[in-house]
Amino acid sequence: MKQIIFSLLFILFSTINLQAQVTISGRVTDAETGLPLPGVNILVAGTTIGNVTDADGNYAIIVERGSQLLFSFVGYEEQRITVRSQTVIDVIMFPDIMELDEVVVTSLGLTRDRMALNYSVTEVSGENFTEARENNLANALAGRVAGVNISNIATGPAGASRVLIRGNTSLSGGNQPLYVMDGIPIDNATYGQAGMWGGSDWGDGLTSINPDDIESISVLKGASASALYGSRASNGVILITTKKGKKQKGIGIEFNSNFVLESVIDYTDPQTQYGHGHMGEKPNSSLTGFNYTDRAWGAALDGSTSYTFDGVERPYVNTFKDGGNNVKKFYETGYAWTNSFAVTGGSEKQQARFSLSHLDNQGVVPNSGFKRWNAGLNYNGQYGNFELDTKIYYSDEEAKNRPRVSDMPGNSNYTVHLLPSSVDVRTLKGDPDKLGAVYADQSNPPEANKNIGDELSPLGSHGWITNPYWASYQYVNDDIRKRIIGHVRGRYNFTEYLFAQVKVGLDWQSKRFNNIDPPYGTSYQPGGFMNKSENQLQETNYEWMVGFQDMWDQFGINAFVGGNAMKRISGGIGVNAENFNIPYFHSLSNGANQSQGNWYGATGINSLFGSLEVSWGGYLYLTATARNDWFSTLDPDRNSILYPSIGMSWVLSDLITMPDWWNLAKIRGSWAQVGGGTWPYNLDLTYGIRGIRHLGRVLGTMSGSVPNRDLVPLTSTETEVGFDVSFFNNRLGMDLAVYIQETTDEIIGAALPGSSGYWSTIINIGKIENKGYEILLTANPIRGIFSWNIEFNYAENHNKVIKISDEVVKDIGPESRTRTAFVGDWEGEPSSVICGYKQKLVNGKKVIDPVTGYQVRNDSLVILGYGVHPYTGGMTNTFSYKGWNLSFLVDFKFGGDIHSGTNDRMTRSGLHKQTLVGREEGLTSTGVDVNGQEISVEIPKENLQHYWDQYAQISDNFIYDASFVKLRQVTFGYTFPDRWLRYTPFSYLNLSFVARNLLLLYSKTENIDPESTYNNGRMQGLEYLGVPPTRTYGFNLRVRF
Amino acid sequence: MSDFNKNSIAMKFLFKYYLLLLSVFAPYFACNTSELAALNDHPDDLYEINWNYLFTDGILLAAENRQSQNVQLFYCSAMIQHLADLEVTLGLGNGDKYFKKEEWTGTYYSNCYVGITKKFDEAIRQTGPAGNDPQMVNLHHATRVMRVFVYHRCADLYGDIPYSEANKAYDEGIFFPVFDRQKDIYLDMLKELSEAAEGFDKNQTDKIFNSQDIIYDGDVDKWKKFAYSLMLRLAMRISLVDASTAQVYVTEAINGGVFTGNADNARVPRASGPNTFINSNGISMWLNPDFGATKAKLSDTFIDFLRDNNDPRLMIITSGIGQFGSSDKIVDPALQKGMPNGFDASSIREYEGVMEDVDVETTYSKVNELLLDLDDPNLFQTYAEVEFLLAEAAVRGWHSADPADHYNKGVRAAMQMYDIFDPSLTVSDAEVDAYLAAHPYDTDKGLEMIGTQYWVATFLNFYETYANWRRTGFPVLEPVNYPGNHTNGTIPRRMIFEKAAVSRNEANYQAAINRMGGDELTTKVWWDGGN
Repeated sequence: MKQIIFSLLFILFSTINLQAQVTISGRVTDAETGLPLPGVNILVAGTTIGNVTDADGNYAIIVERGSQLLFSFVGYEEQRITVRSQTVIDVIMFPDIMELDEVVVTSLGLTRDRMALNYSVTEVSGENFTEARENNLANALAGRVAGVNISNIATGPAGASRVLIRGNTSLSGGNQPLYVMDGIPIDNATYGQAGMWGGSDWGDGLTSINPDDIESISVLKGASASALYGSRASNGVILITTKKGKKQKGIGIEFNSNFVLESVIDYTDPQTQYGHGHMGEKPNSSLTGFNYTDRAWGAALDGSTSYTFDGVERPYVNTFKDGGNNVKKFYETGYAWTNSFAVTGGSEKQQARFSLSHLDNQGVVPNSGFKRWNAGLNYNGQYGNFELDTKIYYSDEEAKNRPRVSDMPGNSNYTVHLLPSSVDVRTLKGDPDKLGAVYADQSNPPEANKNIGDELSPLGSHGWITNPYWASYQYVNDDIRKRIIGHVRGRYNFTEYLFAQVKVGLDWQSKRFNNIDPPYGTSYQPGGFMNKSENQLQETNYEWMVGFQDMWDQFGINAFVGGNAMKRISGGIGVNAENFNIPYFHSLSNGANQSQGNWYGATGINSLFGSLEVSWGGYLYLTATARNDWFSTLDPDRNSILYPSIGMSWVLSDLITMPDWWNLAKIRGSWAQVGGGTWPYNLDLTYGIRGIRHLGRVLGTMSGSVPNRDLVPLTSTETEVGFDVSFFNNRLGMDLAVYIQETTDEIIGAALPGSSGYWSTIINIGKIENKGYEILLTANPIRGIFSWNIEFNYAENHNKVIKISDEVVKDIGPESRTRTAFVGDWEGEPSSVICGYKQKLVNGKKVIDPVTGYQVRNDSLVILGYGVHPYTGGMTNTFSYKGWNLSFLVDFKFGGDIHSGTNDRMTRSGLHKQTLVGREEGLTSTGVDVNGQEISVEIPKENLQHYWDQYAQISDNFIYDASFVKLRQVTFGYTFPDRWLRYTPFSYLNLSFVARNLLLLYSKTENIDPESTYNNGRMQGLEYLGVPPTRTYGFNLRVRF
Repeated sequence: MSDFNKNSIAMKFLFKYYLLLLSVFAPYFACNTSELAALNDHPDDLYEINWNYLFTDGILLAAENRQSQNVQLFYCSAMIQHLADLEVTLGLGNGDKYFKKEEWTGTYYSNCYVGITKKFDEAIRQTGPAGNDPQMVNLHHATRVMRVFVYHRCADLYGDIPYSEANKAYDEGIFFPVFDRQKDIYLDMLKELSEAAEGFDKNQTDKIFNSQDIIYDGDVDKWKKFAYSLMLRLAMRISLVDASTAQVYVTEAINGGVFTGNADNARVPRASGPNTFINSNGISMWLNPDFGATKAKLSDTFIDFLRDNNDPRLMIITSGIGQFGSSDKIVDPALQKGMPNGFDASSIREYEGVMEDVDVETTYSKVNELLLDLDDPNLFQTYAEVEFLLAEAAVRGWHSADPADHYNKGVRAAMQMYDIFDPSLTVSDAEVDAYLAAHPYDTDKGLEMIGTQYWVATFLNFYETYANWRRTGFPVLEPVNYPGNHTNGTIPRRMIFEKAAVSRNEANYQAAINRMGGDELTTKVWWDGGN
């Protein structure tokens, strides 16, 4: 082995051209027209040496090998090309369409030559987010990056997203990557998510960013890629690079307008033969109508009449026949309209970009929506050896009535999905001036204590179910967030090879919540409830760095050392008022009872880091990095940890002569460790004081989690190898990465039985392993006037919890609202197993209760499925012909499961088609008793509801394969040719049809979207009556002046 | 290097300025760990607390609130036929018709440790011999009494529960406590009460204890009586399965001194605010239609007993038939009518023999609004119960006294204890005398009369009604048999654990239910004749 390496090295040294300075010449042409481009700027990166193409698009420049040339021209993607052995570099400029750059943004905002990278990094250009867009930026990444698993959450507009890179590295449910914008870590904390007891998704940090401001997004997947982020990198890092000013003639003005309609995709397929009622009978009086409107256990719909919730007699017919089911009748067609405007300009020394945008989104849930204003200013200046780079990005977000999901109170989705077909949801509108309320001409008699203006209950005797119109129009669930993300970076180049820089970054946000549960609605808060809170969050990063870069002949060094101090403080105050003195006067001061609370949390991490890269000839790179972090959240005696990485990249094709058709072969390998800290205040047992007293007495509380002074930071160790190849004049390319990652000492709050006195314990747990591979295939089968590009990515990640702890071998985590399924982590299994109960069997036969005939469940918890898909991927096909462009993205996930609470509830309320059996004569339940004796029991039709109630206790009955294939996105656009624009003020005009979430091509679930989930935390694989998924379609117009 | 040498003065200045800038930032880059560690001190967290605060909070949660009524109101109150409801699987419908809804049957167990007994255990630990405040003697022993109070309710409902190893995750690292046998728990609880009762020290006064003790305002004598009264309750509870132990503790309790009047009643005062979920009476909230959703009415079993015996409590327990809060009600005692258990909105029409809907508000007697104010107290144990227990002890020959005397005192106390709910709810001595004259204690039916009076006297403390009814079998209640019920038409004998709560401790749970013979509504607990 050694001999081979030596002889390779020998060949390498003897064939290298030792001449460092070369003259490079070439021609720059337009990719679409093939015509030469005059006036293109060419700059040697990091210097002020440059040139401009002549009238025929030709240029010449003297550079050192290994340096980079930047080609830039208004309206075209900037191109960076590293000078290696070439002497002629012809450049084709692409008018703002995606292109794999030669240079990519990596850790700490540093740009690196793609060839030097010893790990996998995927860069997605901003274009992909702007045409067909999502309110939450992360959702737009779905299916685009191998190994990145994005989940949409069933929570309505501007909800959070879940981004999982290379599988669960953590059992605590976070697993969200670190987001870094222009080199500054930004906050992506979720403000509040629905759990089993309901709630709303209050969004996360990524909804603040307007896609039009994004130049590109780089996904640093492995530990080596993110090693310089140390303890914040265990879940990967997503780098967002925003657009900057460009050196150009005059100023560039760009305007983009995007208008899409949004409509619900309805997957429900309820039975429509039997109407509301009880024990097989339709309600024949107003009280029974009132009591039994919420369940489809009535008689066959026969066209007669029956009573409903409000005591009114209505036709007992299938109302879904006319105008669709209640899902179609209740949800509205929403829209999203984004207008973005940007001005860029710049000279040789100074560049700036200013942008403004506005998004107005009306959601599909009535009376819900989201608005966002963004303003950004970016300035770069070069003053001799001093460079200044500043950015300020402001966002103002207003969410209106974020829908409640999960548990019943205030959740319109619950009621809409579970009303029988004999009840038209629109009959619940009530007072047209106060939707969902009882009005004067209307009877809602069985509830004597209710008055005009109170909730028109869909089921008065059960005040937990909310009238969906009341939930949408009378509940208030608003929030306003104002946010400033900014940075200042100063860099001083002492010489060509030595620089120092200081960077200060800030992410500051204030969020104001306003929540009102109106009185005389839910039983949960019959007197009404109101909460207002003000929250602030601030993360500051101070970073310094001294760097060195030089080449001696073929030998190059690129090194830096630096430090960072991060401090994150969040806190807020809130005031609650309940039981309004004057009903419907929603003011805090009107609450008969008022209470208040405050919360606070601070963490800090201090770090020192350094990196050393040595290269030879531009084709062999060795890189080592190290970062040491000190944590505020751990005991000072054990709060320091070092995160090293080492890797190599070898561009084989530059070294040995490859066949003509083989353009690139690069091998890379790396080993790295990254980590994660923990949340604060876990070291000591603490006590608290309740904000309120009882008759003057002070009330004390205790922490519900077992503290742990011995916590150490977690470490995630990853080994990755990969190769990059391209063939046939780069028509076919492949990037393969294989990795194995092991996380040890993860800090989790393992759930404990309450009888231990605590709900959880903070422990360092054993070991989780992730291994897998990612493949990215790019093909360009047809080039020329008509071109066809294919990008296919596929990833497999196999996750395994190897050890939890000596005491805990099964951690049973969050629970479904059905109370029959959990998400847990069990030793020896992939993380996020769905566990629940199976049918009890004796000798393999179903056990039934000998008296009732109901199925009997086995009361021990077993694994029923896996909440995270191990196989994910996507494919984008792009066709272009002259100005026409058609692109579509298909994405898929396989191998995961879901426990469907929606199907559970539909079954229990008699809406599921499986409940049609035995409606007329009852059914015969056959099975065995506990002794294995065959028995059969006749179940009269009156008992069917109880039969299915017990059936639903067996959670295995509602486990589905959650695999799917979706047509995620289609864009079809036309760029108007220059000759048409000659007499207009425009220099560029593109109009596209855009659509997202068009089709579910493959799925095995019934009544639900296989992607549906409660939240972006640990509840993956559980689903329960959320906001249905939506489809958007519309137009995007982009013009430049 | 050459570039650098050629720099202008201005650039040199900038360079100096740059170094200055670096030095300004230097403190941020120093790995100053003490400053870093200081970030981890939460301004709102205490590392030590006055343990009285935990004691008070624990008591308040033990008295329960709106959110923790699933067992007591939805099951106990209906199973023992104090209340009835036309619901089927919602609210009281489950206890009324014997359906299992484990997320409700399991509530008491799920709530009892982290929020309540852990605070008691912590206060006991911190004020014990090895704790931080060993001089807080009376707090220490009062907390021991409260701890037993909560555990005995829990064990009565479920049977075997975690006890000896419970709440020790932090102190002893026990994450998965074993379930102790109900028998062993009872023996330990009796020992605890004995030690606590002896441990109270009148000479040790702690002003904070006086003000934080919401039950007796620091009156140590009353705490002592409560300890012995509770001992009497627990001892009688095991009378059928361990008579010898029962007798020992009955004797000790009587000698130690039990409640002697309604002023001794252990009750937790409630308030209408500032937060109804924490401060207010949970039963009131559920039965008051302004807050609760249930339309439960008084059961006909209960109303019939009160009405047929001309019980002066009838018009205290009910305010009549009519809308809640309205003054226009049927208040004639003879016309009071309870709702039958085991019916729904359809079948009740057949029962009543009407074609139209039955308006429950104008048909059945409702619980008196004056017992349902948000600030009405929760009763843990009353003097009347104690007298009935003494009467029973006398019948069993464990107490040398006249059962009739204790019975009469018990009835009087039970009838005259409602003035703490509202001053108007009084029964005069003459009315009591008349009642007793009409229903004299009958030795032949002694246990039944005592048990039945206990059943009436514990209205609104349905846990206790249910436990004593299971043990004594009195009054004889006729079970209902609603279609599809889960007990084959028998009144449930215990509550089912919530799987979510026990699944995290599965091996110990399985061992316990194997020992008990199942985790069903029909499984009997040890003192009820089970395993």
